[in-house]
Amino acid sequence: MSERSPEADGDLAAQIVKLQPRLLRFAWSLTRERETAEDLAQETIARALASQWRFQPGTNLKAWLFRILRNIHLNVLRAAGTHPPLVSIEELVVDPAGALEQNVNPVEARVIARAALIRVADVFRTLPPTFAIPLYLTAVEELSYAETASILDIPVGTVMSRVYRGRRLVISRLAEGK
Amino acid sequence: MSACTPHREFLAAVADGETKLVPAATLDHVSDCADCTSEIQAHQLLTTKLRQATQETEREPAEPRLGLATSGRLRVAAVGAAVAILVAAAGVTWSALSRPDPVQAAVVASSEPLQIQSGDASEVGQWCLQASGRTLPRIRLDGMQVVGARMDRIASTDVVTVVYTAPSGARITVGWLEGQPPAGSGVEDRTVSGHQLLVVHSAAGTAVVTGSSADEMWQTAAAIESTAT
Repeated sequence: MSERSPEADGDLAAQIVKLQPRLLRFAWSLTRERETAEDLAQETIARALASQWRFQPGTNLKAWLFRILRNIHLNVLRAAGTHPPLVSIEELVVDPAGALEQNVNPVEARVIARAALIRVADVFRTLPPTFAIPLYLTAVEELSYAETASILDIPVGTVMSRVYRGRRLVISRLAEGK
Repeated sequence: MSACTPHREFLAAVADGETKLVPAATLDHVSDCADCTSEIQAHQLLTTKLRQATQETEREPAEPRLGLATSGRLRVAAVGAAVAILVAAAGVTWSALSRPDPVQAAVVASSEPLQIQSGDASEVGQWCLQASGRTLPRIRLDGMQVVGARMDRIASTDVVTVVYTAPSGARITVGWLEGQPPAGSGVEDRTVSGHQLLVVHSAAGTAVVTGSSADEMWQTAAAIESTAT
């Protein structure tokens, strides 16, 4: 294991703290509760600061922090005797409003272009977490599919499928005016 | 089942540039399929809007709550970060007051007469190279017809403005700002002097998109944002 200088530790700590808003957003996307999300983000920063030596320089710091955050979230759920929400058969199997049978049509494309940002955000919030979280990590946080798969502990192919279905759900809901 | 069906679930990955995960057969199909190309652009536009929407709507919970049972080190670090943010914000404000705003410069340039008028993209590109000394990024703008360009130096900012006509007939201008290093990616929706505009940060550089059609401005911004170099 390579030695890390105090200066490097200081830089890393600053970078970790600087990512607090991103951690809070990701925590919120998992919990949908502000106070729980804040606690989760704070706890993640505390643990990351305490175990900086585990971080491998040259890898994605944000992805490392997100993975810590998700593990803490799962541990909290287990301790509380609850489980992460299961993916319903309907979510995985049912083609949302037949949306996957055809490509995005010109009307839907125009709807996306015209949609106000607040409307896009509102529709995104209606997505099941199964689709919303991979879409959030890849589209908003700009993490790779591999990084997202590592954070969520699911296969890369599942990330690909969920990102696709998540986007199609947003598009179809925007077009339907839901 | 259409020819697109087996490839459809890979289109998001293509839109996100995750082509290593996409079968070669799908990449071959997509290169010749207008419907799939259109869907990929829709995915890219939606990503741009999602990113922008999240930045707009989720700023509120970004403030750290320091009263929790966290370590003293964490509190010190968080306070330090808050101070750093304030210092950075003060720096940005000072910078904005003491230097001409390049976005404002691009807006001014967008309404000035063209210095070259040509429907030939390569001719316009060559003129831009001679006028500004730099090669403009190649962006794929489906259905957009180049009309001409102009070059301005406003204060210390060089702006190369390229004007297009969209399929709807709307006028769309793209002002490329020199000396604006790529700052991540994303699209900012702004209003400057009563003009609605989009500031696009991409690997290709920073561009200011203005025009008479919001739809086509967003499509142009998405195309620029997805341009690699």
